Amino acid sequence: MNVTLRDLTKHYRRGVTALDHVTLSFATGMFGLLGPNGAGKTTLMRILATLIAPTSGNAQIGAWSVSRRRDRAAIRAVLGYLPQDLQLYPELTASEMVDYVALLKGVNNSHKRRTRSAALLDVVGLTDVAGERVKALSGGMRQRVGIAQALVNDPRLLIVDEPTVGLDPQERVRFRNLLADLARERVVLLSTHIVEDIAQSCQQLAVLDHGHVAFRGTVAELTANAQGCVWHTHTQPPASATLVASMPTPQGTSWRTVGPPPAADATPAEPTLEDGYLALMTRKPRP
Amino acid sequence: MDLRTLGHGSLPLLAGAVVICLVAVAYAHAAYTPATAGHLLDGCLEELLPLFCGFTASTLLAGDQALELQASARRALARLALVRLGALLLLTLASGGVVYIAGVAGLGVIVPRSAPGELVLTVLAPALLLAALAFGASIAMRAAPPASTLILALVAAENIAPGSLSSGPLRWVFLFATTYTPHEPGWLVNRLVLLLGALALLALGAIAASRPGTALALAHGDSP
Repeated sequence: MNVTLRDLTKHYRRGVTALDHVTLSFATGMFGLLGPNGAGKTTLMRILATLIAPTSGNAQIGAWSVSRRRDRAAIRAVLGYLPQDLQLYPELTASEMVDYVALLKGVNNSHKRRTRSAALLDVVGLTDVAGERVKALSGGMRQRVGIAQALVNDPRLLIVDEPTVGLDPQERVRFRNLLADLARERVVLLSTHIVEDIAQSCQQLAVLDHGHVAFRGTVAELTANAQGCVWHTHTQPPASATLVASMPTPQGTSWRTVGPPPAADATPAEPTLEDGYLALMTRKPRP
Repeated sequence: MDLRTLGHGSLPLLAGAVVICLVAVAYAHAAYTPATAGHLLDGCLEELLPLFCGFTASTLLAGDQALELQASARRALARLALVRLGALLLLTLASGGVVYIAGVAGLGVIVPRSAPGELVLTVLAPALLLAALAFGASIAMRAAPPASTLILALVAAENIAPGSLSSGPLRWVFLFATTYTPHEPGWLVNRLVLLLGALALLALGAIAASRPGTALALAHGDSP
């Protein structure tokens, strides 16, 4: 399945432009979406999830357009969606919550629903608390219920917005691996602030900034973007430098910066995806 | 399971309304005539319980935090709202039945319209209209509190000026015809007009609920 966005634009009522002529395409596999707060990532995902309509332009998911009313039902049938601000029904148990979403997604056979819910709760490691009410679960557990409900209809397009928020490092790695596994036979669109999640699981990514596509390419290409402009220094960098990290060492504080050499003693360092992202964002003139 | 997603928030409100009705009717029966107590009983059935129904209907979709998940699924939001509304109306009618039986069978209160069909219409017509109005208003105004305020204002207005609102063309949409003008010949037409008006409002509300962006606006107060 291919997802193609052409000149996708979204204006909100108060004159805010969340997306401005965004053109992108991606296919089966894991596609990462990076960008600062307010870049338009969530708006883009909500348009793809048919929750809001674009002001102009089009998003095509397979043969269906998000702008056509009759296509929206078809898109929802193949969609798995984990929203950024996940809210569940507190009175339902974890198992009932997943079962209920399966019902909403058209799985009418109750035996099939129960089997699927149990299998997914096992996948996300919640079998032991399947009978607990959602209100009694921890934030991380609720997030895992959210992940299970997103997978309940075996979606061909999986949209996950900040999915690893609230998960501990072990759960994060486990979830990343699960997404990578799922992406072998479906489109997975992953939006996150955690650059490491993208670095470890996506081949392709886009960076959104103020509603524009600031970058579209591979993880290696974005990382290479910072080649020759990542530095280590033991001299306090100037305030104008883009500071990535400061680390106390036996020799004094060590700083890592992105940009021009911050001091005479600066030595070049191997860039990471985070460096590439920061280099891109600091170079790009803000609209 | 749709009903369980609504939570139990409205049940104490309903229980409170039923208790108020029972205490008020019992007091009126003890202090005044059975006919006066009957007038009050009609007021409870036609005003207080439908007002509860309207208040709750304003939260059928507005304020449902998980609406973003609901809207991303295949099933229409309007269907969820209608299932919840159906349950709410049944609950309101059942409460009306409890109050009526306690008042008439228990205390011997006399009401002017006591045929089963008339009793159902006494509760159902204003309840459905207030519920439909509150539901539609909550979608239009993106929140439950202003919708509740609107129907409270309507109920207050009809009680402040029942004389002018129950005569002339407005009598067809007067909500409390059983309480104020039970013997008027157009009573049944009034009930039918209220029911048809409510259905029209519900249809408009359902169309508005199915528009992209409505669910997010109701769940998070966004303004698409």
